[in-house]
Amino acid sequence: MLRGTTNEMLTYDLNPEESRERTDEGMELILRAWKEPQPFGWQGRHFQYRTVSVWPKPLQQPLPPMYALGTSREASDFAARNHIGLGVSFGPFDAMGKVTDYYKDQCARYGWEPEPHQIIYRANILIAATGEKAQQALAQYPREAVFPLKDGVAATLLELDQRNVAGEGRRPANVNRVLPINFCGGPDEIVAQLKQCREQIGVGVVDLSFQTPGSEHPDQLMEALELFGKKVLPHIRDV
Amino acid sequence: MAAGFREGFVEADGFRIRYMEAGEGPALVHLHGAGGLRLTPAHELLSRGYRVVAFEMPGFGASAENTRTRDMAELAQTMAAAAKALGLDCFNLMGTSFGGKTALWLGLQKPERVLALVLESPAAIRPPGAAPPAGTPEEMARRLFAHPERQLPLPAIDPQQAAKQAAFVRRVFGPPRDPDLEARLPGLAPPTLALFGTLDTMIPPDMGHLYKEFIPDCHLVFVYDAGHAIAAERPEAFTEVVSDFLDRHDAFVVSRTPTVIHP
Repeated sequence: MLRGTTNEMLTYDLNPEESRERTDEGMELILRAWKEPQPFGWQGRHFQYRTVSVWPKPLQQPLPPMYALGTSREASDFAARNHIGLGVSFGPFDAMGKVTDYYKDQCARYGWEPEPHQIIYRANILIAATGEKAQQALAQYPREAVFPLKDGVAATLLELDQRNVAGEGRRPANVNRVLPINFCGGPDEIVAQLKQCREQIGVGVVDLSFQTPGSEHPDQLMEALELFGKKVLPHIRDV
Repeated sequence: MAAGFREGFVEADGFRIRYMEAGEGPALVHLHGAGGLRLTPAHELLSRGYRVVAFEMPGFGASAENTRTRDMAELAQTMAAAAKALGLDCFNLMGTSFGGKTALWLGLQKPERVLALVLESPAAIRPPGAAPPAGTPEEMARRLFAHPERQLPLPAIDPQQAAKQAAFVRRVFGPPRDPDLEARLPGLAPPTLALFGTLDTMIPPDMGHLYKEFIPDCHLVFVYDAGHAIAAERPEAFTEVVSDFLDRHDAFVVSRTPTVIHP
């Protein structure tokens, strides 16, 4: 159940100040709809339905693996309370490590311990044949979004969406900038960084984006994927 | 105390029974939980459309220790007599937690008198080992409410009164799964609405579907972000759905929200 970028406030015409509450309630409602054997009513704060009837129900029992995405205390609390996994994204390893430590603490409070596969780290990767080539590519990496927000819109979103990062306090939302590169280097450096990521964040799943924003060169993307597949993947089990 | 409520007493079944009453319109009788009668903002909201009579069942509050009532079925008979003594031949019935089980028995015994039945966090089916809240007001609040910080502090209760009530509840409540009651529920005639708070830690909302399975004409509604004391935590949301159900019974699932084209 993934969401979280500020653009979504514009896409769905939502008041950013209600965003977290609506997300929390929406996730609770979805989980309830999957679990309830019979139709039910929902008297929510943001959603009111006299009849919720999901059919067919998920065949898989227990339910398929689920994750809440977020770096906030509330997201961690929600995931821990509902015994589901947590996804964190794009932040530095040490900050994301504080988030997942907080999540594990909350899981302990609810009497369970998440396994590594229940922690996902979503990240950008820039891989090249050598570390030097990767640094050259990084220097040319775009610094701004493809369709940047108007200054007034960005400032308003920044003011309203100050993210509460679990274990770290608050930090400004990532508005108008390209999301950072989290893994950068040649294959050996990437393997070392993945190991560091595993140790600091405790992740069992890494969800990588190889695509440069705005890039119109699929060959570049295919080269990166091939390099990763041939030079990095064989070492993953050692990580 | 909720605004507009006046205190009264009625003699019934050999007991002198206290009640709080307000409002005009169709009668709505309320039976409280194991902690005793405590009016919430929802009582006041409901009294705008109903004649609300909230009884204090014998053995609770300042009433004498109740050593005579043997079980929940007998308690329901007493409360039916109390309503009769107030001239309430037919009425809507709402039971909270412990009072939910009493209300179920009353609905089974006097189906012709109960127009509709509302069960707030009913404790007729409980998880093994579940016990009514006890302890300091702060400890009670943590069990009753999902957000105790948003509630006024619970009043301190006299230890002797608390012990008297707890002993009564222990004696008459029956087992967490009551085969005698459950065997009768398929014959419950009044339309029924069961409400569960999504954050109830005393009676888990996961038990709600059992009422739908046992009771032929039962609706189940989850009240989001509420604990066990739904009416106290989300009084407007509680009142909206309860009033709609009492007004329209099964048809309450059909929206009548005004729109621009169909105001």
